[in-house]
Amino acid sequence: MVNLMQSIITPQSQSNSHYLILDNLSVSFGDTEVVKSLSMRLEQGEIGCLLGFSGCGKTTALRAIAGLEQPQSGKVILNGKTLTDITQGKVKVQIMPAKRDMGMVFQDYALFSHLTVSENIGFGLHRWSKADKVARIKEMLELVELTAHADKRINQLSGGQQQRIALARALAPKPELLLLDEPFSNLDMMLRESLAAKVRDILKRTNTTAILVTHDQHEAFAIADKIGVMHKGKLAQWATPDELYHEPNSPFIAEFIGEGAMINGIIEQGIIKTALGDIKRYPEPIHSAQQPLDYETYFSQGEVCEYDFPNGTKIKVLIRPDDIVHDDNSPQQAMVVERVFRGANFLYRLRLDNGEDVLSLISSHHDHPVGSMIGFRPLMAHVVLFQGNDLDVTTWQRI
Amino acid sequence: MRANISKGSVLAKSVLGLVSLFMLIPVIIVMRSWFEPMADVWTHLAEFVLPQVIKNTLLILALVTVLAGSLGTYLAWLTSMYRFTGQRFFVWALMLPFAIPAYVLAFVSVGLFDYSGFIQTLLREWGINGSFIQVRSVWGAGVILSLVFYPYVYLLARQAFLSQGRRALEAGQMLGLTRNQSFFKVALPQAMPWVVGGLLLTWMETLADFGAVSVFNLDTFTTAIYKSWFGFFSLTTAAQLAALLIITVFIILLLERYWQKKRSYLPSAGNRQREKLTGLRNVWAVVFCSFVFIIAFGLPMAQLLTWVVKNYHIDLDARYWGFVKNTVVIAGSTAAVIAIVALLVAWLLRQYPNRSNQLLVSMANLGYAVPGTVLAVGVFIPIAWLDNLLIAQHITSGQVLSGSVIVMLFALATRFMTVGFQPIDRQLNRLTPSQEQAAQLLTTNRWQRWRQVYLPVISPGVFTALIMVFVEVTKEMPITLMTRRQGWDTLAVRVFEMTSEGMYERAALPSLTIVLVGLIPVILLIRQSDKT
Repeated sequence: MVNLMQSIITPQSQSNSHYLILDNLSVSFGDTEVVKSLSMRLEQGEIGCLLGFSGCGKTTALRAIAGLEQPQSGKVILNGKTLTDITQGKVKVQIMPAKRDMGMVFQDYALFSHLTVSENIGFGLHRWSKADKVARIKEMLELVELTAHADKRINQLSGGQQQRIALARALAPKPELLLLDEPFSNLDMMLRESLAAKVRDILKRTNTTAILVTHDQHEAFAIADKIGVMHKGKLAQWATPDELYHEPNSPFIAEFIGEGAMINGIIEQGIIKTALGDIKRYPEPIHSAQQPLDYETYFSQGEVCEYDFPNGTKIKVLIRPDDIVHDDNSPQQAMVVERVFRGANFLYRLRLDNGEDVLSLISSHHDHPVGSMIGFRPLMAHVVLFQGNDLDVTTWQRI
Repeated sequence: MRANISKGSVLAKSVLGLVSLFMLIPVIIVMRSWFEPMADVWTHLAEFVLPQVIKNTLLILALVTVLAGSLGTYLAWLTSMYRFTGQRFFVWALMLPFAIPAYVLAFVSVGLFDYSGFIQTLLREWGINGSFIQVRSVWGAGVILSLVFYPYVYLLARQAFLSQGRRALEAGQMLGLTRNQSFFKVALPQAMPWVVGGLLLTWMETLADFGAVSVFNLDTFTTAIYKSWFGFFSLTTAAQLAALLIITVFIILLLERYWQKKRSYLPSAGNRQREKLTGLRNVWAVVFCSFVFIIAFGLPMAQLLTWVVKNYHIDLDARYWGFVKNTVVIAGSTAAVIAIVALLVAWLLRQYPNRSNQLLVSMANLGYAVPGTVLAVGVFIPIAWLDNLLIAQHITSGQVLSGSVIVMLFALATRFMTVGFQPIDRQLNRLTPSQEQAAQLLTTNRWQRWRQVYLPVISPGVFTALIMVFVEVTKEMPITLMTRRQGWDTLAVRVFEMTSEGMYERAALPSLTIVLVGLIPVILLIRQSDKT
């Protein structure tokens, strides 16, 4: 028997007092529609992210928000002020970028090579008084920890330092919205991770609302509160990282985010029959912060309800690597057909009795060679189901 | 193998040292002339000529800076940042004025604005008395030279704007500046090293110009040098004047090195969409670019063609082909000499790439900054001295060397060494050390290596070098004029002689030939920039 739990997706609040509102934003270049009816909401202080492959339209969407591209149609409203309002080709409102009160960190930083670090940071403060300007520059330098480099030229700094200067420069004028276009793509892996955490910290401390664009999920997960996965110009899902991983609303999202496998199932009397076992549906348990829920107890004691599909319906079930738990004592066994060393764990590809494969992430202390049998126990707190035969891939993993 | 063999490196350094010494002899000789006593003619010069010369030179430089600078920058901005009707045509068409030497544009404009010329006739038809337009003035020279040299600024500024322009604008806008403000506060300052680089080249060429100012009857350093030598027969005075000019050029050269360092690596131009100009803005762009194209290239070419058609039955004769033959021989031999020396120098530098060698090589390449008139003087003096020595030693009986092509070749080689060196050096740098080592492992002897690996790789560079030097020598006038052997008139010299006598129409055929030859590197340049 498989232990499961049905989770509830909290509905989006429908009020109109969101900080940033995008409504059906569409951008075309010539005949090609690059952004198709993008709609999303962001609250003040939240960090949003547009995530997707190259060419999915995420950068164009960001530039449309900034006013650097003019959309064919759509609305952009920031803090109650309408910045863009275009319907059916008629431009009602299109405020120019300089007046949008937004800041932008470009992919190549676009720092001004003819100015020093301080002059770069203070560049957007031309309306401030001299005293305020000096104070703010000092504040920003401290924020990004580059006070010692205040009078240096840009080409004397490293890539990571330049990126921080770009951030400081964009934040200095206290913009209502900060836009970041793949800010870490020019840096090496290790630098990326440490900077991503630092950037999130800075944004949260200054209570800055921001939108980040990237193709790297790890970056997105590390920085953003809300992520919008974009595919061929459309927003596939707008949700928290956790929701994207555990509750993807389409096979594309399920495949794009994280790793996993799809196995076949058939509905029988409200239960899904799969090669892993029977999947039963339980109502949402209530647990308080003081007493964390003990899934084992809950599943052994809880009431079963039914899946609402007619008998014989074919279902695909998403199995994440963390859903398969290693258990030497378990009667369920599968054969190891492939494994990848990941340092702290192995990613095992296990073949079930019926020939289907699942992935399992197991601590690397357990060294099971290819060809051996391994005992396992499925432990799925979330069940993600897809109907239909629109999936070709059965297992996928990130390299 | 890279040099650890000290014998080889010493030999290399000596060769490089010898070459750069040779290249620098003219300059050294000229500077040394200040140790000679001043001839009487100096009093005349100082009182009557020098003040005017200095005033004219400064005024022309100022005019050219403002005109060529703003024209080149603005055209570069228009063509790199926007799409408008005919933009793709203008991008390369605006480079075409490179093919026209300054002295050609000068006499053509004088002809056009002559009383019976095309423009004055047209103006009279419209009831305007155009005689107030004095082309033969400092202002006229300033305008003409700007039209000839703005492509330097145009090309370099384009490089900067293509890669940084859009970014600079957007970054400025995101920080609260309007587009105009972003241009002046971000895009332009960032492009400054390139704009200044173009301006410095323009200055060098302006200071070196002899033909155009001669046509305009203006006194500048170059004409004063010429007149001192051939008019007053005082070579020493000519050298002393030349020394003054060299000091100015030297300062410009230092500035050029300084600004070259500021031209940091440019990111590759993104394939971003350019903003499309519509309505009035589109019209303005087309009109402006057309206007510049017409006055800098279209109209002069039309006038030249008209004159040629009118006169070719007189001019296209054996004498003309004689000029062509002389030009080809001189240009060809200079090209060959430079290519060989440049190849040797580039190869040695590659094998022994230390700082002192690099310094020697850059010194050998300084000739391009030195005006032709100065080089002519600086080469003639030592050769004349050598001649006198040989006579004194009873080895020869007459002026063997000074009357020979050696003087001309020496001066031309010094001036255009860098024109041949750059493409060869660039091409050599494409031969990676690992390719060289692979060749050494796979072949048994030197000849085989050279024939099968090195030469095929280097030959495009050598080919480019030969062509570029050939074209530059064809266009060159002062050195050829001042150092040629009797009877060795080239096309450029013919143009000078005809224009000196006011016979502009007769100068058209040789000029047209020169311009057609001058189009070759421009076409190469255009094809090269198309690829980027």
